[in-house]
Amino acid sequence: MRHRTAAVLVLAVALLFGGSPWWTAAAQSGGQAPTAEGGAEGGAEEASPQDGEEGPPERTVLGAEEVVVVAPLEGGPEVEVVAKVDTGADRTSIDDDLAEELGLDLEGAETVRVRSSLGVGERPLVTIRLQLAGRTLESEVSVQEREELSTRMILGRNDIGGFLVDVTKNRANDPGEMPQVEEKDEEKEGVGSLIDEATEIFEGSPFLLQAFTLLALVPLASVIVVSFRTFVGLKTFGIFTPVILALSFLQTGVLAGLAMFGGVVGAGLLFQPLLRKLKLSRTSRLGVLLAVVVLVILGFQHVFEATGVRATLAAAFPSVITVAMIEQLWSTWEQESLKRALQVSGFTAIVIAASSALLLLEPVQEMARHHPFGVAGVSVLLCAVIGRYRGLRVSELIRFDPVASQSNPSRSDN
Amino acid sequence: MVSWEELLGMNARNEIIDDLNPAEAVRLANNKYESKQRLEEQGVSVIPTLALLRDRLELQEFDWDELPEAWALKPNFGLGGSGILLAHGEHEDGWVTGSGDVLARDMVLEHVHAILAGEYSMGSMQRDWALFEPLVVAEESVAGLVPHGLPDVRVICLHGEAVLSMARLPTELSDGKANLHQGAVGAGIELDTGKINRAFWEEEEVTHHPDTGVELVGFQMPYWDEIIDASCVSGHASGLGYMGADVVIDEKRGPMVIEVNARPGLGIQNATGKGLAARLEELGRDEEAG
Repeated sequence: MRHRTAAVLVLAVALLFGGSPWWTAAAQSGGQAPTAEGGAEGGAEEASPQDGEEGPPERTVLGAEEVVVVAPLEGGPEVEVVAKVDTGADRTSIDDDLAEELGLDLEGAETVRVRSSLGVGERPLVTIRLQLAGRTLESEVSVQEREELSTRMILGRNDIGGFLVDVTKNRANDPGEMPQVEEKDEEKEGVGSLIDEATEIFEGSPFLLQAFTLLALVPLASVIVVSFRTFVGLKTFGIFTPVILALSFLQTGVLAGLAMFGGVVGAGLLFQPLLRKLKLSRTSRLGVLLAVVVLVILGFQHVFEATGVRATLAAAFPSVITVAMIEQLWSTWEQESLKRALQVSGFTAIVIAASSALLLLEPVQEMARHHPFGVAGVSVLLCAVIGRYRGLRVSELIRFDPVASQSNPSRSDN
Repeated sequence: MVSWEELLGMNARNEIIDDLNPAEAVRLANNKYESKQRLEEQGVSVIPTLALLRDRLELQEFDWDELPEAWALKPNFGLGGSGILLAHGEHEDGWVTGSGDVLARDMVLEHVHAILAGEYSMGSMQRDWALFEPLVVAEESVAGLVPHGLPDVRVICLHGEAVLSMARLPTELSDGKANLHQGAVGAGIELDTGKINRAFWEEEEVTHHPDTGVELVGFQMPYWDEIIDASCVSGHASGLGYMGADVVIDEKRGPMVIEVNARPGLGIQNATGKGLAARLEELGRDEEAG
């Protein structure tokens, strides 16, 4: 029963995607990927200007414990805490009570996977300002539940890179005055925070993958597309159009990408009949469509910027391939029906979303980053193996159900 | 009742096509004009060509008075019946369509330009040719089955042997087109007798045409032996090991092959209630034995 195998495979793929909320996965892998690898870099950078100015580095010596003033990045309550200096920790962490006291938003925060003496877990990641030994640092800190421990804050290597540590000393420095920042506009608290919250889900994460990693993800995306074609039988616009769009979703975020996909498909449905009425030549019609698509993308860019979503977002959406898609949308509409055209649009969106969701999974990114050749090689194998499947597709189980499973009253005698 | 193993899926069909249909034969099949010439050489009855316009120059030199009252304008490399314009009679401004709309000469000219620009051709951006043929008027008994549009018979052939056959009957839903995925009725025809023994429309079995109410099951296709002969010869002549021949029955000229299809769809399984995989295996075995 070969079609059963197909169904099981599809189910497995679905489970894989169902396992984690992928829009948060997007945010996670995006925001944290660079710092997770080079945790110490942030701190060193902060400290280096001073080192440079003073010629031979005259480094401040920290004791085993230091008094630190912490505050939210945008300004707000300043809290003085005693922090333990821990040269064994990659990253500074604070306990959750302190985070609450500072009014930090942990619900919407990005998360980071940490291994500590408390085991492995997901921790919220927030950026705060801290005043330490006369210096003001901006630091991305993780938030821990540390009730049983006495310390509310641990200074990790990312913040103490510019200092020397002498463990025989304690509280060797005065934190100093924290410079004032402009208070956040109060009006933004009401409507603004709502928009912020909405956009956070919406945003995904515009992160810059290294070209090598991105390239290794291309064949992996095509494995998804090939699987959907071969096992599920979902018709999409263009065979590899979903691959290209899925890759662009890595930059725009899945939800924003889907919104834009809907936007350009909508524009296509709206403009194609109008353009046909104008009886333009084909080339000029395609030119008009390209301009319309770019207008839609620019429109999204504008809306995203206005609502505070990062700026480079919309521009990653591919315009030329989208025009080819809109052309196919039209011919499906014309030759079959509007319903069918919408259906195929939906299938295309599903395949793109599934592909980009897979590519955004942390382990997948890790693999592509560290073993690009391996990932591409395995994709070659998978595509080839899938290409040998000759059984029925899930769509065909539905299509031919009237012949196969119903008992057939008008059985032919032929 | 057909078991899942007897049904042919896209994956398996594509392999059969890859194995049995040489690229050269597929190229020929996609070219309507040259296919017709090849079939005609083999004695198959095809629709005559009134005019073939391959570029704007040929269009400029074209004498429109050559056209008869009723004609069909098609893209030579068209796919799935798109881009076809039908003129049913003459009018002082040009022609009229089947529904009585006026087809001004400018509109026809524009359509030819669109065809030449590759608007309806298979690979996008490919240049196309415009093909004028006389309008086929369906034989009376067959025409009586449908509200309007041209019904045809699809015969799937393996190495020139008929595998399965069905009538494709236009409906209001299909807007007169004979493609099943556009909403035409697929009516399975017994190969031996030429009788319709099952009909399938959209997603369910039917016994009558949904628009005309005419009973389909039991209908005897006229010219059945000639239809099967023409299909099988086309199968050989086209060089396609696996193909679908589309045959129309003209009221004056009788059965004519309208198109050979290198990638015939699988909807015929629903129409006939039979599995293609099982039928192909049967024929393959017969061939080995014979």
